[in-house]
Amino acid sequence: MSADLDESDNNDPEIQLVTFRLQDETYGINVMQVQEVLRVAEIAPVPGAPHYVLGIINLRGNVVTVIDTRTRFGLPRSEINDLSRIVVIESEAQVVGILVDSVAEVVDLHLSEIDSAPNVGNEESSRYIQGVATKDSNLLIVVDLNKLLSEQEWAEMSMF
Amino acid sequence: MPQPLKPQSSKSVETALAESDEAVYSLLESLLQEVEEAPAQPLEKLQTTLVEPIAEQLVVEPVKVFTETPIQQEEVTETQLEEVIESSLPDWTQQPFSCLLFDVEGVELAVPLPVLRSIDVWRTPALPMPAQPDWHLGVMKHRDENIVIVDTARVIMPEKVTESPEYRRKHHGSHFLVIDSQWAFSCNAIKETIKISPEQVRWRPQRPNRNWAVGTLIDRLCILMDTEALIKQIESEQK
Repeated sequence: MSADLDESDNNDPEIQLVTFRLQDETYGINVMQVQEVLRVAEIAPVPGAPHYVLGIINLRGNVVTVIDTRTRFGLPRSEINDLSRIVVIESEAQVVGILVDSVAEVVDLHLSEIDSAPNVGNEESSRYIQGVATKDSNLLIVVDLNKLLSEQEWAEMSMF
Repeated sequence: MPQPLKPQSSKSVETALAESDEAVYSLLESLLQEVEEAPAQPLEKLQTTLVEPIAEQLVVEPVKVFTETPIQQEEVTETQLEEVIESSLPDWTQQPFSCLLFDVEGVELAVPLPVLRSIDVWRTPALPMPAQPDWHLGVMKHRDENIVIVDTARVIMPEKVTESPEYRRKHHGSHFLVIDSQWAFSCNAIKETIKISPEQVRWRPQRPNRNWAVGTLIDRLCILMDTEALIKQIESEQK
């Protein structure tokens, strides 16, 4: 019985996702890639940066680029408020911050619970959508952070 | 007629500055002089000798290593690579330096004092020239030389500029930073000068884009400009 369970776990590993809100939807990202969650303080604009780069912040003496997740996801921009957070993530050997409307919780999910998402957008806009899952009757969009930016865009993140 | 910062002949003192301006300029003047004291040569000469050879090394050396002889690539040690990267930065980045903080369309920027010739208040209109690029704010007489004043915002952050070139030529910033005998950059306000050591900057040794942004002042979160690179960018875009 125990051996069966282990085998089952190996075949269908459980992952933890940090969930956040953007507009009316809930998104999930792998907790292993999340370094910390910050309240929004000063974000300094970077002249000449791509439109989805909101600016830079000073994180304990390190300069971290902040991405406007709404803009990246093709959603309308919104005002920063008390619930807004910067989720500091590590991906493709880069540490960046992603601005989200709010951070919700950490949820456990088996990989088998993630269904592939119907691809209605173009390849560019949907490449970072890993799939969708249902948690407590709510739909959760699982994001593959590594595909949030292209290889070249990731490389540029350390240059602002 | 703008007033130069360096001590000049009586000719340069044509208009009395307002008291607040005098205080700011006195401070800036003393700081500029402080920088100039060490090398006893004109700034133009200093810029030429310090910066130009570095730019050449940057482009040529890495290409040799990676394209012509793959065998040499293996022989390049980590230390040598670090040296190549370091050499891609202007010489003034290797030691503590003073820099001027200024404002362009609400964005704080920094420029190292060693590359500045002077800072002037925009008192008289620049002469607009026909058939010029959008960033061309006009020509102004400065120390018997005709300098072109560049719309800094238009060049480095065109995405923030919505007004027409004609509008901006009339409603320009309050000051301009004179780099050499030919170029000056507009700005909205002069803020302060600070001393910076190289460790306080996140450098951009490799600059595939925004070549003019040589690094970021970590504490101030503002971009440190390489004005020479920006001038080269402007000149290359005109060819």
